[in-house]
Amino acid sequence: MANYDPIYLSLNDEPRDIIASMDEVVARRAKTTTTYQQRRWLPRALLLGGLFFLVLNFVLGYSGSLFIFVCIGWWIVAFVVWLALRRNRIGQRLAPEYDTAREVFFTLRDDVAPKKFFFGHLDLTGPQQTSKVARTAKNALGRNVSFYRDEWLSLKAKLYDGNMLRVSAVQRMKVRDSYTKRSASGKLKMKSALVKDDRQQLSVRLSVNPQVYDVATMRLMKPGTGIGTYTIVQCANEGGIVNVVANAATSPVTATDIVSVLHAIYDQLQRKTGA
Amino acid sequence: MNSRAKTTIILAVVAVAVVMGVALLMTFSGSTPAKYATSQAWSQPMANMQSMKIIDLTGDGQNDLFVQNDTTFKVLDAEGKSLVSQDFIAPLATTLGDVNGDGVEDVVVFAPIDGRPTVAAYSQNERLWATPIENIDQPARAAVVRFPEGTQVIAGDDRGLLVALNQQGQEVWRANLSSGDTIRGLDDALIDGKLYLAAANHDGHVALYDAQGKALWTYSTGILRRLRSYDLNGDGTSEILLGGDGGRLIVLDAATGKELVNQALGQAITEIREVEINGEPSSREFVVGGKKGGVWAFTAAGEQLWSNNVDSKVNEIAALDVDKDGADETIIGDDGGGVTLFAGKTGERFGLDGHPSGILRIDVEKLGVGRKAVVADGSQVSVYSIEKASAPFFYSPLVVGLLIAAAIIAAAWFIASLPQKPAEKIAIEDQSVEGLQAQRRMLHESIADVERMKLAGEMPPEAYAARLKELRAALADNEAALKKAGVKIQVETFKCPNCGGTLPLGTDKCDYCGQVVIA
Repeated sequence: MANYDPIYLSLNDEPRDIIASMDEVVARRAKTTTTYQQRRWLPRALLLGGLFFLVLNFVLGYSGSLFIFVCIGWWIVAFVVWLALRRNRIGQRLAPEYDTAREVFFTLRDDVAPKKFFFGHLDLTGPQQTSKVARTAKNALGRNVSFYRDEWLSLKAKLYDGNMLRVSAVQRMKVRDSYTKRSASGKLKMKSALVKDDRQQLSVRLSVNPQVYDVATMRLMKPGTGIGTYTIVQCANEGGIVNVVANAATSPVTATDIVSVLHAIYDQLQRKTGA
Repeated sequence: MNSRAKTTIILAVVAVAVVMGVALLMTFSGSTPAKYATSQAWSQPMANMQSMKIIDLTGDGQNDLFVQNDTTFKVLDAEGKSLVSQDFIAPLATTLGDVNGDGVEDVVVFAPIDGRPTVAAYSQNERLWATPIENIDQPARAAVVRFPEGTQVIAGDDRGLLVALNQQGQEVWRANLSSGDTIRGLDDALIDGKLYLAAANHDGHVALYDAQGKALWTYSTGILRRLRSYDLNGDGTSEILLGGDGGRLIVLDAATGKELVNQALGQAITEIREVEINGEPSSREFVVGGKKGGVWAFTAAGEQLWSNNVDSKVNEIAALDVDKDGADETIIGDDGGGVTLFAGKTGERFGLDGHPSGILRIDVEKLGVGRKAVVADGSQVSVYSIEKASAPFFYSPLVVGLLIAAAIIAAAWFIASLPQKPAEKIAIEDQSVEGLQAQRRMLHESIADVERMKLAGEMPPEAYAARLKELRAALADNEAALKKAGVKIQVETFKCPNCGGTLPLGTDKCDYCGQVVIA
C-alpha cells in the first residue's frame, strides 16, 4: 500500500477560493520539494569538507590538531542542516483523492448559489486510525478484525437552482489486526495486519427545490446500476429528497466517477416548465 | 521573517560569537602550532646495539660515534666511515673514559680474551693494556671513574663482584656488592665535588664506594633496572636515581644514602635520563620511562612536571633542544620501534619516523655539522637531523574559528530561508460575517445529519461520539469568531470543566467523560 503525506482541509469558502487554496498547497509543497533538492548537497559538502580537513590535519602533522576542530565543527553543522532539511522536506506525495476532490470542486464551482459556500472537509490523514474504527469483531480463527470508516470527503453546498447537495465519500476497510504466534519450532512470529476488504462508498443526498424540479420516478437509477466504477446499492426519493448510495470496489475513485453519479441523479429531475 | 528564521539567526549569532571567542582566546593565549621533522643523514647495519655514544675518541676535536653490540665495538666518523673496529667474544661490556690522562676518551673493554675475563683499554686504535681478572665471573658492566686519588677502571660481573684497576691496569681493590646477581648499574657520583662510585645490583643492592673500595653507605630495595647519578640541583652532591620492577622511583642523597623521593609510578621503570625540561639552567630535571610506555618528567625535588605515554616499553631516553629555547625536547625510543618527541616545557607529544624493530639506543650530540640524533634499532644505526617547523598562517585558531563560523552562517542562511512546509491541517474558511454565519448553519445541519445517521443505525456509537465532538468544537470556535466579529448570537455551547469537550447548553452530564456539569 502506497504511503502518502497526510493532510486535512476544513472547508467553508467559495469554490474558487477553495480551489485556489488547494492549488497553493500543491505549489508550496512543490516549492518545498524543489528547495530541498536544491539544498540537500550542503550536509554532504560539509561532511566531505570536514573529512578533507581531518585528512589535511594528519598530513600537515602540526601540534594542536586544529583542523580536527574544523572537521568536528563542520560535521556538527552538517548534522544540524541535515536535520533541518529532513524535518522540512516533503516526504511523500499527496493521496490521489486530493486531485479527485479538487476536480469535483472544480466541476461544481459554477453550480453553487451566489455568496454560498462549499462546506465540509477533505480528510486525507488515512483510514487506519483508532478514531476511525467503526467496530471490531472476531473472525472464525478468533483473531481481531477492525472495520474502519473513513469519511475522506464531506461536502455540502446550496446550489444555484436552490437544491441542497450533500456528498459524502467514505472508504470502508476490513482489516485483520496484526498478531503474534508461536511456530512449530518455537519461534515467535509476527503476522502483520491484513486488509480483507477495501471499498469506496459514495452517499449523495439531494434536497430538491420543489419550485424548480419535479422528481421523476427513479426509472434510470436502480440498485445494481453501474455508473463508472460505482454500482448503485440504494436509491430512494423521500418526499423530494433523493438519497443515493453507491459502492466501488476499486480504490481510489476518480472525480469522473463521483461527478457521473451526481449527473445521473440530476437526470432523475425534471425541470418544471416556466421555472 | 518567520519565527523559525528568527530563532535560527539568533542561535547562529550566538554560536558564531562563542566560536570566535574561543578562537581568539586560543590565538592569544595558546602556543603556536608546530611539528618536528626528521631527515636522515646516513645509516648502516649494526645489529643488537648495546652501547652507543657520540664522543671525540680520536682527539681531533670532532665527535665520533662509538657503537657496541654483543661482540664488536666500532668507532665511526661523522659520515659513518669506520675508524676503529674490534671483535670480541660475548659477553662484551664497554665504557668510555680518559684512562691514560691524554685528554682523549679511551675505550675500556671487559670481555673474555684468550678464554679469561679481561679488562683492556684502547686509545685511538691502540691497546694500552689488557689485564686478565682472576676469580671473576662473566662480564656485566664497566665504568671509568676519575677519583680524586686517580682514575680507576671498574669491572662488574654477573655475580655482584666489583674489581677496580688503576690507570696501568693493576688491580687496586675488589668488593662484593652482593652475591649471586649481576651488576646492573655503575656511575660516578659527586659528594661535595669529589667523585665516588655508585653501584647497583639487579637484586636491589646499592652502595657508594670511595677510591679504596670502601662502601660509604649501602641501600637495598627490590629488583633494579636502572641506576643513574646526576647532580640535579647543582649543589655539588649528586642525587642517585633508582628505578626497578616494583614501579617505584627512588632518589637517594649520594652523601648519606637517605631517600629523598620514593614515589610509585604504577609500572616497572625501564629508563631514567637527565633532561633540561624547564629551561632553567640552575637545576636539572629528569625523565622516567616505564615498561608500559609511561613517560614522566620530574624536577630535581621529585615534583612531576608532566606525564604522557608512548606506544610500548620505553627503551631509551635522550634530550635535544631542537627549537633552541633553552628547554630540551625529550626523545623516547620504544620497544615497538616508535620514536616520540615530547616538547620541552609542555610535554606535548609529536611522533617522529618509526622503525621496523624496537629502538635499542638513542644518543644526541654534535656530529659533523650540527647536533644529530643517532637511533639504533634491532638491525641498524641511523643518524638524523631534527628540525622544528612552525605552522603556516592558515593553521591557526583564528582561521579555524572563521572556517567554523562560515559554515554556521551558511547553514543558518540555508535553514532560515527554507520555505515553510505546508501544515497538515489547513482551514480554507471565509472569516467574513457571512462566511461564519454560513458555517454556523452548515454545522447545525451537520450535527443534525450525524444525529439522524445515529438514529438510523448508519453510524456506530463511537464514531457518532467522535464526530459530534468535532462538530461541537467547530461550532464553539465559530461562536467565538462571530462574537469577535461583533455579531450578536445566542451562545449554544460550553466546555466541560472536566475533559474540555464542547457540549450543548442545557446538558447536565458530559457526553464524553460522564462528569455531571451544570451550565
